[in-house]
Amino acid sequence: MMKSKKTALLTAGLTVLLSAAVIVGGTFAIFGTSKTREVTITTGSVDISAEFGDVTLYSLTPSSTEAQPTGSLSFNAGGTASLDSANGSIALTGIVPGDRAEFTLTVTNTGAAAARYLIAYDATVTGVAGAEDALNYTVTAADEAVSFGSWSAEPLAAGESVTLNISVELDKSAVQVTDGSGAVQTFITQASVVFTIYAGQANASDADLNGALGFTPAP
Amino acid sequence: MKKSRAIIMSVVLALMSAIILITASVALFSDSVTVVNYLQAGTLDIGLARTQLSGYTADENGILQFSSDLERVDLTDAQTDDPDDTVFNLGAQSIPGTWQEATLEIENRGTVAFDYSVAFFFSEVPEEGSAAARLADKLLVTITDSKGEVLTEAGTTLTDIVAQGAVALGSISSPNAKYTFRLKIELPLEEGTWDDGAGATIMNAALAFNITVSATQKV
Repeated sequence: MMKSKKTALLTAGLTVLLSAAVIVGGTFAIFGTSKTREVTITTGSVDISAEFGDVTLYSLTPSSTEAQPTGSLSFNAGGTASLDSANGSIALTGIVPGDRAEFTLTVTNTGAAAARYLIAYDATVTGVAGAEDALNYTVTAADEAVSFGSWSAEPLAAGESVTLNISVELDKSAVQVTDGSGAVQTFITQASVVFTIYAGQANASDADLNGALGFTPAP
Repeated sequence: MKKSRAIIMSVVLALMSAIILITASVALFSDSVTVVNYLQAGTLDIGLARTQLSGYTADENGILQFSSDLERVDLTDAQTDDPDDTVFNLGAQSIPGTWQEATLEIENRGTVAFDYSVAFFFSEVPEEGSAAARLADKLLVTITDSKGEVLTEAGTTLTDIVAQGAVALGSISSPNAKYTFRLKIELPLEEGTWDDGAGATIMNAALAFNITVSATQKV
């Protein structure tokens, strides 16, 4: 008799537990539905390259008062020009008055997005007094839209290029000087024209671009 | 003696009368009516459509162009390969300044009142420190409900909204009722930040995320 009472109690307990489980499970049966869409976003990029090329050297000749093409990467008096593509530089060494180098600088938008660009350049010359005045250099562009020292008004589309024509010349009127002992001084010990090209996304204002750079590029 | 008997008899009769009265009260006429209840489950079914998509996206040259598309795109069924079958269509490349705002319409196509919400989650969680993770930290998300109330705090990023989970948008009680809400995604043009494509750049980043609109029965 006692045994059947225990059984009855156990059965009752299980029933309560099963009922609780049904109730808990029931809370998940709430009606619901959803709709999903996937969105993909890919960013563009702004990147720019600049490369020297098309080097032509000019030197004076005994038969002409104007410098003539030398047809090689050597000047007539022994100077040379060397193009270092890896470092993006061109070096002129051993030049004498009247020597002139003309070359191009091609600026290409290698990014995926259109870009505004700013071309700045600066020349530094160290040597004897007056050497700076004797180094003539010009930078021009066939495209009139190209400006220097300010952000381009027109963006450069992805893959597009602009070409600058650069001429560097040691004026033929330059005169070497000697020191007090009569020794000839090196007219130019070092001269460089450094080009810096900045590029920013096409939709940015001058102020935003300068603000992002943290400075206003010098012309 | 006769008197006493008469009194006894009268007492007995009184008792019998009482018993008869009690019995009669049980024997009152009665009736019962059984009502059969038929239960039919309601349906929770929603329709979702994009009714407008506006904003600035970059064209093939990476130049931001404004567009406003009023073509209705039904988003109810499973997503197809159609690139426009989504909430946002940001094009092949996004640049800072890109943004799009989608107006979505949710419709009660069933018979059950429901609460609805929107949730963002990554298709694939971007690796920590990756360009995609940085992009997710830059993308701003704005959610505006059908009353025009902005539900997200200013500066809420995609990373934030994914972590936040579902955002409640409101309720729809009447069958066939329609409400619209707006979702906006923006890659802001940050002032004073120069991304040169190196280091912690977001250039060329790719990211996919899902937007899920869910409805659950109103309880």
